[in-house]
Amino acid sequence: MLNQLIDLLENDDRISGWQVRELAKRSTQLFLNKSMEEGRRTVESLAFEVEILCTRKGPKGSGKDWVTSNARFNVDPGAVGRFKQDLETALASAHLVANESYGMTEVGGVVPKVELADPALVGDAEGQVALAAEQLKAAVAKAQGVRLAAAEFFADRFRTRYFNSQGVNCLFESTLFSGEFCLLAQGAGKEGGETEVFKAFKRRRLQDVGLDAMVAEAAEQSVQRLDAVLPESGRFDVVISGEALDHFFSWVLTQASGAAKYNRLTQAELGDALVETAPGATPLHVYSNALIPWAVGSYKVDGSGSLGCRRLLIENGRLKARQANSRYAQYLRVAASGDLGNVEVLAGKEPGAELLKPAAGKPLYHLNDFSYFEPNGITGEFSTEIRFGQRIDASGPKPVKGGSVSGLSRDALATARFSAETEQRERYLGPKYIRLEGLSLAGE
Amino acid sequence: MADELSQEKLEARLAEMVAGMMKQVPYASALGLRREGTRVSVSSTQSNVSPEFPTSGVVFTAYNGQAFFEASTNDLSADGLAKASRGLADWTAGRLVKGGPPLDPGPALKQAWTLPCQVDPLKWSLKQKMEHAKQLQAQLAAAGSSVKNATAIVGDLVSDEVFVNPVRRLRQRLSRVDEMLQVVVAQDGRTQMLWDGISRGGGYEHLGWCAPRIPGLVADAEKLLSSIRLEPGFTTVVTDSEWSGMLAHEAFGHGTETDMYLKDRAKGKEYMGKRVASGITSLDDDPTYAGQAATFYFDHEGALARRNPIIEAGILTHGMTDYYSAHHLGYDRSANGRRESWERKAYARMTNTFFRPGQSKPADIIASVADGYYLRYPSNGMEDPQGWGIQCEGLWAERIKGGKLTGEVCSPVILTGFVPDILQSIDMVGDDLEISGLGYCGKGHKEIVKNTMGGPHLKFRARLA
Repeated sequence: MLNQLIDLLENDDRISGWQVRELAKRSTQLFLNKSMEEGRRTVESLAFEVEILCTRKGPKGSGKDWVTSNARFNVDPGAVGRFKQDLETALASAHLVANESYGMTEVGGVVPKVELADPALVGDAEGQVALAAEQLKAAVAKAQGVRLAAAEFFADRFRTRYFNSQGVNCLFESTLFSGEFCLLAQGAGKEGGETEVFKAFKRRRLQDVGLDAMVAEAAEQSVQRLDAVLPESGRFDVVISGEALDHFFSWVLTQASGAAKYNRLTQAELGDALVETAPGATPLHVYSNALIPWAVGSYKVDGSGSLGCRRLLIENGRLKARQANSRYAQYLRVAASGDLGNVEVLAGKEPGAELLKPAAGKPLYHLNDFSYFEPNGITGEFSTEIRFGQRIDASGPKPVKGGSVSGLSRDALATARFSAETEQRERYLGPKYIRLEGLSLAGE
Repeated sequence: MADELSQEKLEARLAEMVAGMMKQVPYASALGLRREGTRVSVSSTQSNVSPEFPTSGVVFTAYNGQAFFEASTNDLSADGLAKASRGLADWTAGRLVKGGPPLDPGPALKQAWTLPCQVDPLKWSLKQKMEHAKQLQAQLAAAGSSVKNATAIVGDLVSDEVFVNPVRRLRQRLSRVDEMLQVVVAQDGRTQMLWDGISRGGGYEHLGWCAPRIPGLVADAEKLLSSIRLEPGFTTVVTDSEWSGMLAHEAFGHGTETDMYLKDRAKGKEYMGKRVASGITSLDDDPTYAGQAATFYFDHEGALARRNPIIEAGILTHGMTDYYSAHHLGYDRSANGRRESWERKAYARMTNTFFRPGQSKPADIIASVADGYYLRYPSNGMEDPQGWGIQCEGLWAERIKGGKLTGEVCSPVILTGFVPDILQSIDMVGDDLEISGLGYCGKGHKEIVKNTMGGPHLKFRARLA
């Protein structure tokens, strides 16, 4: 089927560039209602994603010598026979637009070696979801004072073939093991009985999920939540860890994004200081890294044919380079870095335990579970509900939940201190603890 | 070829497969989903046209007396479907559990519906869609000196759905149209983005909503450039219809999805028949609401759509069910079994969820506030059905002083609190009702489905920051 599509695209002289991605997916899914099996699912799918480019002289008055018309569309495997007709429609669609000229990605080196496909999952997805369910149940049985409310496991295998008009081609396999579970802690909490902790995960291999440790942490959190109270209101130093790290750097990533620059979502220029690091704070160094073994953000070839790489975006708080796929790299005349890979942040020098010490006479909050924590990529502002944390003072830690924490990424990062310990999460590799000064808490 | 298979033929083929599966398992069903549409976007920097050619898939379901097993495929050839359905039936038949109550497949019915649509999206040309988007974009770009990027989006989606079980053969054609604006403004080193628009069930007769709102949208975006952060604390809050909708969705929408009851993950289960909101508060989930983006005739498990009153005068009366949880809890089915796609499981999901209108004029509600905030432009929210906490975020909190809007705008704003405390503090309900269809909803962090949310203006007490 793929060859039929490629032949048609190659032999159509109205098309100046094209790419086709064939995506074959097999998914095995297991759902638990408490400890009982609620259902199992298998999914098999095949899809083709096509993009065509038609470059022509710019229309009069457009101010452009050349323009590119483009269209992206999907082809159902059963509709390959109709592809000629769909291609005509796509060409008509493409000619309705006249964007700044760009071309398909050129051949640019050797496809990198990066581990993406777990042989255990490829060989026995059914066995992997069953194993995960057993591991989860065993971990919950070991934990004190909690029970399993629900769980889901997805073992996905992908086979991707990429071809474009410039000769780039690549075949690679990848896997994802994702899921979630929810624990309930029993006790006489203020809200009358039980409290829940929900955890979601996504890794390339089951072995990297660490269900045992996740359950132990979640169980501890569930139990502590029963006695948790609202935090105080005011400005406090806050240490974040866990899920908050996944999106904490979204503002600097938007500032570095080629697409955001081209679409005027950021005014930042290369060389600009995004963060003015204060004395004692950790200098900010951020990479887009698509080459971390087994990381979910890793890839060999991105969605437009660029090879995976590691690119320093932020150096010492300054915008060093753009993260840009092939199209935006051409527009901005910078080297393509490919789609955003994993966010790699260089660690600090202090141990986490040091960061978790309160300043004399003032409590510190260690917050590690939120409703949803993602700073606004454009403004850098963030506000989120606190699901769980601890108020730490000279007398020790006390659990808190509820209320919210707010701040501004630029200010928060200027005084941030990063731990020496690092953590690899779904798409994040960086400090395990980040201490932020003077965030605004709204609670009691 | 899938594309050559009409919906009638697909229905017949699925019926044959289901009949075959029923020889081996106590219950079987099949759902076919086919989607087709277009998305056109024009911005200050680029334009894009994305034709969505028809894509189709089928999910077969088999019940073993205790659990549901499913096989999904987009190989719609006779052989492909036979392989998927037989494989699933064989697998399930090897795991039968006897003794449980039988599943109720519902009354026998064979019917087909089409959502009313005056201007068929599939009959409007790409050029017409592009021209409309270009005009809107040009107006938006010219509406303010600080506009850095103006984007107009026009899109449509036509979904053909076929459901077959041992006694039902149902088909529906649902169409939806989107018209949206997004503006980026910047001045003195600050950048802000704001958006507005509609997503409505039906066709291109709905276009025209955005154009009159352009000056207001740009003026509001420019006002955000000088916004300040709000001083955190408990305060009186007035919400516009979109914010009320987010509250409906996050507070009591997710909290009454009965698959969460079954897993003891929603406090709503303990409160059925009890007071959860003030006596002037009522909330519906209604997949029959005419012209809305989440309106349909049957859900993805074959339950026929009907209005579902969730809260009546402050009392929690009904939950929203999927097939599995309704069966195990002994609840009547409501049409809330929905899937993100044929590749995903059905869960209990909201449709069109909204607070019912009350008696107060919105202007009177504002006038009644001595000191508080008027919330507009919601952005996102997150549910916590078990803890009954709530997080709703937005971009606009305008100070009210002495019953008047002051023009002092704070942004962003986050509303948090304990759901029953918030809902029981509702002391004024507007006589207006608007429903926004722009949103999508996830179950936790995934399973994204289209739904709408709305309500009248509401006044209550909550914690803002």
